[in-house]
Amino acid sequence: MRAGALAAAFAASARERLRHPIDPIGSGIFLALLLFIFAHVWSAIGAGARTAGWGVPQLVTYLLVTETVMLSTSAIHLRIASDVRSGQLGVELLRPVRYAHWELARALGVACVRVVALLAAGLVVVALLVGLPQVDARGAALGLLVMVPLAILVESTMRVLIGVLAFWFEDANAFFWIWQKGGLLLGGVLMPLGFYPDWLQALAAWTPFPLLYFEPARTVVAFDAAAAGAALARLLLWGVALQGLLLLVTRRACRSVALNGG
Amino acid sequence: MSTLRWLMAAWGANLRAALEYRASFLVQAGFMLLNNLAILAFWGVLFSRFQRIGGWTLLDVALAYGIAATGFGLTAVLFGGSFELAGLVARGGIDNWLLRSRPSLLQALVSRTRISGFGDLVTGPLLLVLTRTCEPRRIVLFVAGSIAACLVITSFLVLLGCVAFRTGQADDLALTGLNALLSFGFYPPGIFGGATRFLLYVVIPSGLMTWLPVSLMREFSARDAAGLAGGVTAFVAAATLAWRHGLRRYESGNLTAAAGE
Repeated sequence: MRAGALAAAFAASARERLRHPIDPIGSGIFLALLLFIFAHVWSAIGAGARTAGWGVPQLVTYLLVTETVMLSTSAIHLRIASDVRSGQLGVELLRPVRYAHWELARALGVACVRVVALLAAGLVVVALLVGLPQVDARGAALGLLVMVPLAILVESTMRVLIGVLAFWFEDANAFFWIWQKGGLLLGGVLMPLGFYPDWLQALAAWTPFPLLYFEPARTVVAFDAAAAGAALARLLLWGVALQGLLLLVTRRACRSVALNGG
Repeated sequence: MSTLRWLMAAWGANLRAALEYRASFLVQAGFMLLNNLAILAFWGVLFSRFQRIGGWTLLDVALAYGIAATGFGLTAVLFGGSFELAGLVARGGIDNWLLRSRPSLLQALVSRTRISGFGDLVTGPLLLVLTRTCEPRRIVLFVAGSIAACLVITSFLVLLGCVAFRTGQADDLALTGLNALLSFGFYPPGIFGGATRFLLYVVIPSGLMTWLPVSLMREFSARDAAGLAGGVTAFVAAATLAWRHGLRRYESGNLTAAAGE
């Protein structure tokens, strides 16, 4: 029953985005702008970028994959904080499914539509701007069909966790900014971690961010079976650990809710 | 009451409302500052590997970032309503301002203050200190550039919001447009071709927001200064005209009572 309800929330959310495609179109336009800018940045750097072992088509395709993970995940924390502030949470908690899982299912439904739209639009833009790079078919399949969806699941779970902080703080935006910028910098969203100084690469390795952005993109663009396998195993571990943490935190959060009628 | 006194009273009321929740104010402004510095860290990493990109150094990017952050902060604090124009027009929520004697656009713009804007306002001067920009002439140009950036950002948001008069919904367009304006403004103009650069002065005015002010700070030229003044004036005029023209198509949402007036 619970799984069925969550599947229904997922499907309804995906259908809603398909009926009102302005949201995925807006994300697609923003991604196209970023790809356009970075195609120019990497072309301007030119020879310097190539010496790092990546050609311009590889670097722009890398950005396409990292940004697809980032832009596919919706701002769940904002909706949760809004539910807390408006009192709508009282109604949401009446459902016979866990509130956090309900929100997660809805976010994944949105992501499902966005990821397809972003990849389709992004691949066309990359092909037009710099040409598609030669990639290993196994790496592309593993990266796009397994690691990107898994990374979106982990990122969405983390955003629900951040949103649940609003149960105590009323707003979770500030926490989200830090998480998002951590991902941008330590996850290597805009450029591969290989470009970073050694100390920053070492610091990034202690965080989950490279698994969410750098590793899926590297698997697509420059496939290395051993590295991809290790990254996938660690990504799965993070996924399981965060699901456990979500259960614990939401249980505690729900106990702290004080409803005042109305 | 003169327009200036009325504006000061509106901004004072917004500031008092923002300071009502001190902890929230400090957290939002502080985290916005951290957020800005994190983005700048990306540039630090890139320039540690490539010393010059499109003719710009890290110093130029830091100045562009400082001007954009201060301009954005001024818009968020003084004209915070500009971020919500598209939604208000779509919902028919500007009735209250039409009933009063003050210009409706100005009322809409000063109706809100975005608290996170205070974090942006701190970012600019902090970057001036970090880049050791201490000559009075350059500080004056930084302040003038930031004011120009504020006017460009606000005018651009008004123009995007006015699309809602025609299409009904323009929230997503406004968000995408703002993201584009800010995104292009942080990258050196030298990486773009002539046609793209032209578009980035007259369609998405990132060039007016950061490129010309940075160019003036690097080497002052009367031609660039006149270009900046002319461009900003043109955008402010276009925004005012678009609002006036849009009001003719406006349909009330009967929200006067809901606004508690």
